[in-house]
Amino acid sequence: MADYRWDAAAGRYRDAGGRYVADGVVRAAVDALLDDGTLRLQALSARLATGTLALAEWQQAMAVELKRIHLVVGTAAHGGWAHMAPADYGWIGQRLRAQYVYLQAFAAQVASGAQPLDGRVAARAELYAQAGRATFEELRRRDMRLRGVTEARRGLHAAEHCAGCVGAAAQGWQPLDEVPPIGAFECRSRCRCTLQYRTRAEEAA
Amino acid sequence: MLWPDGRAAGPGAVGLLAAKGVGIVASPRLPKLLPTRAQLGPAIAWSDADLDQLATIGPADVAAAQAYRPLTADPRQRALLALLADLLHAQEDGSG
Repeated sequence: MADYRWDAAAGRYRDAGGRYVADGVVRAAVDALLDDGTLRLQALSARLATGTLALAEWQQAMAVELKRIHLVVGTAAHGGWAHMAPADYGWIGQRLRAQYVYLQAFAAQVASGAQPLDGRVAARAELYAQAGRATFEELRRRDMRLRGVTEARRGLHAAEHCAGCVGAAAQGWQPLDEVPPIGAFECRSRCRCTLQYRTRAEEAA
Repeated sequence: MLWPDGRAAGPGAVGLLAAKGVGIVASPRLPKLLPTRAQLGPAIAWSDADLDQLATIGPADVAAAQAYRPLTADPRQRALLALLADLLHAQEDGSG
């Protein structure tokens, strides 16, 4: 296992040589987890659509996978398992609870027939996995606020961008809490943007 | 099982598709059958207390998350997931 350290003051990982691990590398690892989670949720949804998994079993299994996804990405944002306190688990749990409310509505729509059991089920399930990205970014924002960081901006990356994200990125540096969260625009939880941070008059973190 | 237009598929059709060995929906050349509502069963209606309990993260949840095994076969994705697992075991940095 490679030896990484968590620099709590900076809110960043360091490698064995003491160099910071680039934020983009950490986010790529988080994105890989979300994409793997997508595969899992799509597989569950395929079993639902073929009648090999009952709706209640699907709902429970989705809930288990969502907990794993949000827990892992939230922990990645906060420096790893060794740095998680009960309050951090509670913060993630609140986000998870909101996802469970959405999941319950999703299941009710499947039961009523309002949600057709076709490819749209798997597409909708994907959004639940990808919603972990917002948990990662919002936990980072919470921690940056606690560190006294005052400003953030939206970073666009190699992806197709919706108009909302392009407009938000064009705003540049804004007060920390005025930058819209990941998932706030048309691309919803598929948003691949990042939030970047600085304290006024300093360079980007 | 149901045909996509809502008609019930008889046991002969289900058996024929299953005998093809391709599963009920796996082949694009065969019509897709959908489960009936009876086969799906009801959704779970979680109460507020259920939701609170479900969303509570305890040691067993942490242990399950730490035991995560990737599903993807993509080497790059697997490498990134291995990196993530290593990052999650980061210790406090004492150099600063």
